[in-house]
Amino acid sequence: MRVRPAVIQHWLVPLAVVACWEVFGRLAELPPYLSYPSQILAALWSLAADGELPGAVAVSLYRVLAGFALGTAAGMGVGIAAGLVKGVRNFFGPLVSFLFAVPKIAFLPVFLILLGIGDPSKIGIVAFSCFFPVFVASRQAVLSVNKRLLWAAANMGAPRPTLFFRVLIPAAAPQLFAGFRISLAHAFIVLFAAELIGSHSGLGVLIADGEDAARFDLMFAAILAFAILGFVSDRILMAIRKRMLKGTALGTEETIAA
Amino acid sequence: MPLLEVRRLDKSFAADNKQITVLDSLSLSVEEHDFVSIVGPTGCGKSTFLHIVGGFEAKTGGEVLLNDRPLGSPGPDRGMMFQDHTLFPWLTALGNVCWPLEMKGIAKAKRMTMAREYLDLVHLARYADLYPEQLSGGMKQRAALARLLALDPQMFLMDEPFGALDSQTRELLQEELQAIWRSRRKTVLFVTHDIDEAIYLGTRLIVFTARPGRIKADIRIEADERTASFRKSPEFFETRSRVWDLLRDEVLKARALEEQ
Repeated sequence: MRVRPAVIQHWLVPLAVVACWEVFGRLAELPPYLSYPSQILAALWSLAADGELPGAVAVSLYRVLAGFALGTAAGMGVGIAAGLVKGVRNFFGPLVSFLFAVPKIAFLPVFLILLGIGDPSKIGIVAFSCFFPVFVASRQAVLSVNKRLLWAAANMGAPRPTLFFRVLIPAAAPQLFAGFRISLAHAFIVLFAAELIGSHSGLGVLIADGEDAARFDLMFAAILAFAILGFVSDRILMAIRKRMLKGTALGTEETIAA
Repeated sequence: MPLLEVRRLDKSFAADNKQITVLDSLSLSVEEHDFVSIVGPTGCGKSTFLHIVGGFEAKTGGEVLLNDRPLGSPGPDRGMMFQDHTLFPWLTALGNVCWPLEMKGIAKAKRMTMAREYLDLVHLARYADLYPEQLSGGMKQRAALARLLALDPQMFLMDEPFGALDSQTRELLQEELQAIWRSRRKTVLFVTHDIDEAIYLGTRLIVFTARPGRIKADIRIEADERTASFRKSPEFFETRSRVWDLLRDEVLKARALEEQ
């Protein structure tokens, strides 16, 4: 089997870095807090074997997905309304602009007081954080839909709900997905911070525990698990996107690259 | 009774604190089966006129009657075709042509068959399963034409539908539209900036003045035969030079307006 040059380009640098990391680690050339790959994998294995990792993954995944779903749904609903209705746009526009750049984790104390130390406060802060990028992307998506597509559909006798669900939404879909993707990354970032600061369970806690116990192999193992979760979620979202945007994505850089 | 009756139509809007009059007391009546070509300098309001008839833009004053009734919101009685295709990029050519049929409530199996027939009529049957982005410019406009035929409106409103195409493709599509119009006897309002196209296709040719748009001339084109030889006939050339003389002043006026 011939390996395509693109595949080599993708993997050459990461593999080289990991290999060097491993070699220098084994030669004891690295500081003690920088565990090397085989140590991290061993720690990952032991965490998985004693059930600690699956439990933490389940807790974090539930929080991130529930928060993402809620925040994205709310952001999309309000964002689309803002795109369609000037009043809604005027009401939410300045508010969102004002809060958009604030790190959402700063609001964690408020969520902890309101919703307690358990899952609801984590889901709440993740949803809050996801709302903003989705709102901004959805508003922009609706505003930039080619008006003529809606004209053409109205011309063909489409009633309003049809115009909304079968023309506006599909036409806005590429930008909506761009918003979802950013919001998914935000979800993981803010969850990690929230679990580090105020939580009794989850991957963030596992990382903090490893750090406290100076077990850096465990810490890196949990970070690795976090990265894998984020990466896989993103791939799943992109696969859904590719399926749903068949046709729309044609002729763009994306199809040329694929 | 004319199919479309336009009486003293006005259209103006405010831009940069100035009131701009686009159409000024425009009157026109169009009989059924007429193919009305509309030419005029850039910015003369010919597209706006079409958009008002289509129900997409509001008029400022006057009356527009279709079948003796005031025009309503956009609907399948008037079918619009734009310079850029407005096909839905998330649907295949077939899916796009199916759309108006679905809106009419035709059952799925039937509308698939019908849509294929319309695509066949515009020579696109082989490309039914391609998405708009995979089609050439000419093929996109063919698919848009098939969708218009599937909508089957009483009146075609065409806003420079072939304007963005290369000249060979454009001539081919003109011939096809001509044949379709002859066999189906639709009423057509056809806006173009191409005098040859306007003469070749139209039974009637309207020349708009520079802004504010008014009707400068209303010319009948009698020829029955609209074959390639019509394009070389004395009548064609006479009409051409006459229209160009009429248009020239207006184009110069329009340019002066732009330079103001």
